Amino acid sequence: MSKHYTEKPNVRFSQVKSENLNDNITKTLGEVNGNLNSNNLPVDALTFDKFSSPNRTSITSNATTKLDYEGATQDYHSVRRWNTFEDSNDMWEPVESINLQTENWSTGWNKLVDYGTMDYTFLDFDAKEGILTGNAVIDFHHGLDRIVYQSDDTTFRVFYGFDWWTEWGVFVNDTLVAETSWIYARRITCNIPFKVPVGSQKVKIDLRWRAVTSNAVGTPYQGNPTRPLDIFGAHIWVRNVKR
Amino acid sequence: MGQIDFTKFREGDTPDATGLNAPYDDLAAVSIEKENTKPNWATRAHFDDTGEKANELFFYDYDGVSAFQTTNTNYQTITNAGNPSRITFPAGTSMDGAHIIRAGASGIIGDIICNTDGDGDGTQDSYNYFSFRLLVTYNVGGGNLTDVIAECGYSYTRRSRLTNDSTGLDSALWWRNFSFSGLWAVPNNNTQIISIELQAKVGPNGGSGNQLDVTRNNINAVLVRN
Repeated sequence: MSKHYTEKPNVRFSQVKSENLNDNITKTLGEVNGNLNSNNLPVDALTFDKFSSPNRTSITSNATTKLDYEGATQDYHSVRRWNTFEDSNDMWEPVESINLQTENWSTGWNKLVDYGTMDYTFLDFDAKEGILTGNAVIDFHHGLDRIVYQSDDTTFRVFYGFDWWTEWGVFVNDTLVAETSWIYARRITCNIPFKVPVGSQKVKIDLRWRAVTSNAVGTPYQGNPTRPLDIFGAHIWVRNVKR
Repeated sequence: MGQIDFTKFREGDTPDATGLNAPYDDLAAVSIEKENTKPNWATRAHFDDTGEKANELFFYDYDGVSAFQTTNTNYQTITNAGNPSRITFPAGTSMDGAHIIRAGASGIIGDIICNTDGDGDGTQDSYNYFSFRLLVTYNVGGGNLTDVIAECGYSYTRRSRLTNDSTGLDSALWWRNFSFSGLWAVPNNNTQIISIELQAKVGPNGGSGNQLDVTRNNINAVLVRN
């Protein structure tokens, strides 16, 4: 109950009983002491200036920037490692290069955080019941090789690896929630949107990749074999819309 | 103070003015806090939907076919049939130091021209690349300042940054999309947000004149205040 009226009115010339006083006052206070509801606040009463101010923190360590923002209606969480932001490099220098010839990786999903300086590019936060909606942005290059075949008297120079591809996935608490298609050889920046319902719980979000590549064939081939998966930047940001 | 205490009168007590007025005086002075309200009472109808918003969305869209072309190795604002690819915020658009801007852009990469994609030995990495960025212009008093919200890169061809052989040129990749996004932390209270624009440049290419070509493009920005 949120609206009330005097239950035991005092009548002129009648005796004032303590019970009447107690009941009337208790009822009035009882409403304020934890029973105020929508009947006490008109619709459209919550204006923007009634919201408490948001809190924002941003920390850069291990060449990775983590941003947390807590507002009245929504939270944002972000983690980024990018060549032009955290490494002070230009757009052409990778922040990490995974040698697909020599590094350990599988044809299944590989965690980006397992490779070199990308080890802090994951989000780990306390979500509030509602919806998580966000984007993972990855700037990478997995390209064709150019190789030399030599037979007895003839030398062929060809591009090699037209069937190589890379795929990226966003994992929320180890569950795949969004993925790219197979991306054939090139440098590309992918914006991978995702949306998942969430309870009030711990949430961890990370990027994972899988790829197809192969070793050069032909004998002898020239130079040192390389199969780089170059990472120029990774950024995961998420909006937690609270109920 | 959220809760109001009250000592009940007993049979035979003679209430005085102080005792009778006390609960009402306390009620007048109380600060309503979360323990004063019932659970699950607020509805969306209690939020005022006029005036300043927790989120404000702005959008720029060019859906024509006029191409923006550049061989410039420094960032240039993309222009669409003579008009810049830019969100210009209404005068007086102000944000505080705890706020953030979330922005993204996408578009179509058209008939690019690639005369060199590098030699694949790591010394000419940049030849094969071009990039985009979102640039915010703001004012905290004094002259306008700029900052980068997000940046992204693409290659002209499929060639790897490192290849076994340093000869040859792969064919260019035409007609594909670009897309990227980012967050920007507003630096100060009363920061005036002027504009956000989409810019592009090509990598140093040894004078070979690689050219970027962009047609349709758009920018979205959300001013996040609470």
